[in-house]
Amino acid sequence: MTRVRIPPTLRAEVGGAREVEGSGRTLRELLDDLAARFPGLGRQVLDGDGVAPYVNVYVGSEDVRTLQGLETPVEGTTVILLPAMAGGEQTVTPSILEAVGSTPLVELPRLAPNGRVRLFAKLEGHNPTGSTKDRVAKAMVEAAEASGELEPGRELLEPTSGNTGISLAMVAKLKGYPLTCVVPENATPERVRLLELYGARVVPSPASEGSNGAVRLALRLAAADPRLFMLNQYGNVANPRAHYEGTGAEIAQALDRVDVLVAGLGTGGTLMGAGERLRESFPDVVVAAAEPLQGDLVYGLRSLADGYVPPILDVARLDRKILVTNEESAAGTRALLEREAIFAGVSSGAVLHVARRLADELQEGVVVAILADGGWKYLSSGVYDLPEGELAPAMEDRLWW
Amino acid sequence: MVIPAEVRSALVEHAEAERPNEACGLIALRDGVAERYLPGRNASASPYRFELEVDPEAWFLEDEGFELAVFHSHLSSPPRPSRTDIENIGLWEGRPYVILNARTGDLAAFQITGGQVTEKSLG
Repeated sequence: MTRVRIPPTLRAEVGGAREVEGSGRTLRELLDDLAARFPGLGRQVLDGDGVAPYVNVYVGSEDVRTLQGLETPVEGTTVILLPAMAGGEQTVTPSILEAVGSTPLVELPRLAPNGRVRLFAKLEGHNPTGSTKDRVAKAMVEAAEASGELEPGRELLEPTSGNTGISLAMVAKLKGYPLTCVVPENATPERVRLLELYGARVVPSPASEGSNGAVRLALRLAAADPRLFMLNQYGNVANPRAHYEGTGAEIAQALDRVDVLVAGLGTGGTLMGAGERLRESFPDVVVAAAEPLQGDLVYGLRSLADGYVPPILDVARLDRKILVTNEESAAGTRALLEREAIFAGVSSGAVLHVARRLADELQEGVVVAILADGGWKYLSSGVYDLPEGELAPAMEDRLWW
Repeated sequence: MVIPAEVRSALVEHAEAERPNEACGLIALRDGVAERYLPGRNASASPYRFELEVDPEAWFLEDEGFELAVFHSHLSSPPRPSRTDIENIGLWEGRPYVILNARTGDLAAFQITGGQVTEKSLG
C-alpha cells in the first residue's frame, strides 16, 4: 500500500481524511485505485489519460513531471497531491501569434427563428489576420518544427486563394521563413495585396484552373526546388487538430448544449476538428457542412462533386451537407451585417444560410455557426453594395472564398 | 484580510527581485492576518505567466491553523485577476487570492468562484 497525503482543498472528496492509502505499482495504478474508491477525488485528479491540469503530484519529494509521469513507481513511497496554481497578466500579449484563437462566440437573436432556438456565431474574423486560418497556419508550422521537418533555411510554399496564405505569411515572418504562395489570379485583389504586404512572394496560377490549378503549379515548383516545404493544409492533420483543440474546445467550454454545428466545407479541417471535439461533449450534435454548388469557382468552400476530396476530410463524419448558391451566400452575408451588425466574409453568409435553415427544423435547441473570416477582404467585390439583380452576374467567374 | 507592513514589504521585494518576470508564492494567515510570506518559484519564468512552485509542505500549513492565500504579481496591469487567472483557478476556487501591481505597489485580495471575481477588503 502507498500512503497518499491529501491537501485541505481535496479532503472533502475523501471524507475529510488528511491521508489515505492506495494500491498499485505505478502512479497510474494508484490513482485508478483511488478514483474507484473516491470518485470525486478521481474527477478532480484525473483528466482523460493524464493528471488533471489543476493538480500537482509529488512522489517522495519530487514532482512526477520530472520523473516518469503516470508511470512513476510508487510502491513504498509517499505520494502528495497538491493544488497546481497558474495564471498571469493578460493585458500584454508577448507576440501576435499568442493572439490567435479565443474568438468571440456571439448570440444572433435577430436571426434566430424563434425564442426557443438560440443561434450563435463564432467570429473567426477576430483572429489576427482576420480569418480562422491563423489557427491552422500556426498549428501546421509549429507541428512541422516540432517534428524536425521544418528547419531554418527552408522556405515555405502553399497554394492558397488568400486566407491561409495571409495567415502563413504572418507566422512565417515572425518565425523567419520565406514564403511563396501560388494564388489563382481571380482571387480578390485585397487578398493578393495583403499577402504582398505581409512579405509573401505571390505566384499567380490560371483563373480557369481554379484551386486545383494552384495546387498543381505548387507541386511542380516544390518538385523543382528541395528547399521548398509545402505544409499542404488539405492533407495536414495539424489542420483539424487546431480546430479540435481550439475552435471546438472553445465552443464546448462556452455552451452547455450544442445541437447543430455549421461550418463551411473547405479543407474539411474545421468540420472534422471542431465537429469531433463537440461530439465528445454533445454526442448527438449534428455536424453540418455548407457546400458551394458544383462548378462554382470557389476555393475556401469546396464542392465535393467537383471531384477532389481533401485527405483530412472524412465525409462519413458529416451528418448534413447542404449546397448553397452564390446568391444565398451573399444574402446571408448582408443579413449578418444588416440584422446583427456583423461584418463577415462571403463564406460566412453561406454558413449562416445553412445555420438558419437547420435552426428552422428545430423545435428548440442551440445552433452554432462558425464564421470563417471578416468582410474586409471582399470590399471591392460588390457583395455589400450591388443591387440583388446585379449580384449573380458579378459573382460569376470570381473566387469568393 | 489584513496584510501588515512587513509582509507587504516581503511581497514587494520578491516582485522586484523577480523582475522582469512575475513573482508568486503563498501568504500564511492566522485569523485573517498575514503572518508570513513563503516565496515560491515561477516555473514559467515569464513576464506574462506564473506557475507556482513552492515547498510541498507549505500547502499543509492549514493543518497548523493557518489559512493560505495564493499570491502573484502583475508587472503592469492593475491588481485584478486576469482571464488567465480566472481560467486557472482550479482547486483554489473560493479561496484567498492576492495580486500585487509591481509597478504601482497596489495590492488587492479576491475570491474567484464559478468564474466570478469578488474583491475582498484588505487592510
